Amino acid sequence: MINALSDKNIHEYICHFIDGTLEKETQKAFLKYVDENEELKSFIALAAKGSQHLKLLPQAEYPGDLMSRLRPHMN
Amino acid sequence: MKNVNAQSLSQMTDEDLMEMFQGGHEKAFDIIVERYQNRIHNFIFRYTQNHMDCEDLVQETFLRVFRCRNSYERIAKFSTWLYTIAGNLVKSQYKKNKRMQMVSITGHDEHDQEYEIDVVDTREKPDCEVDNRLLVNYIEKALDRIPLEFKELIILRDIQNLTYEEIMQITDLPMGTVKSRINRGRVRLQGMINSFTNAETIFAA
Repeated sequence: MINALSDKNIHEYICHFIDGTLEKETQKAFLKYVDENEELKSFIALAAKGSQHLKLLPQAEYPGDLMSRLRPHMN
Repeated sequence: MKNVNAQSLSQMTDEDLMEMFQGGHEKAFDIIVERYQNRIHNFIFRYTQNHMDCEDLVQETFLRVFRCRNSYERIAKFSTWLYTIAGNLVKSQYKKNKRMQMVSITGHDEHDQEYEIDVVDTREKPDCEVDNRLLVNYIEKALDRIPLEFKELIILRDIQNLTYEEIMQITDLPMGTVKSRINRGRVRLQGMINSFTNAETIFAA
């Protein structure tokens, strides 16, 4: 449950918009609000793209055997 | 001490495992390490961008869990406690490294000014795979340059996929600040990626 849309909590809406977790009606209201503000529109576009890019970073597994590195120090 | 086998340990929640560990079952610690080593490795690597430092910090994180096991209280989710330990270690190392970099940069300039030169190698016209590698390289470079207060939050959210509530607990920041910094961090990162790709286009033209 998120608070009513205003300039003060716009980031809350942007986060949920980027996550795709805004309800349909809320999203409609949000898009209408955003549509009147070009600066905000480009901010959201950049934030969404930045988020997508971060998800592209490869996930590496820990190399080697961590437990055997830890054991000598576990006294 | 309860008699439990490895299989039943591996089915336990993190919090139950910590309780077992606090009660003297060291095998529970092994399961925790196994469960989190890759996630913590990825988390730390995004700060250090260096495998050797990263492995040392991963080791130190789990050693702190081992040594400070009795300071963990079940009121907190284990993963947020673990990320807090890793985050604190990595931030202090990160700040130390940044200070060291600053000293070496200013030390080489006779006018004592900070400077930076970016060279984007566009000699090979990239195929798709090279394009992706280049993009990942830009993302890593941008991530390395954005201020720590944004970096931590976007790593936790977009790379580690933690919830806003978990991030709030780990960073000890109010929810509004968490969300605002995540968005502003993403925008800064994307702005930098755009500047790298624009520079590439200009040099390639």
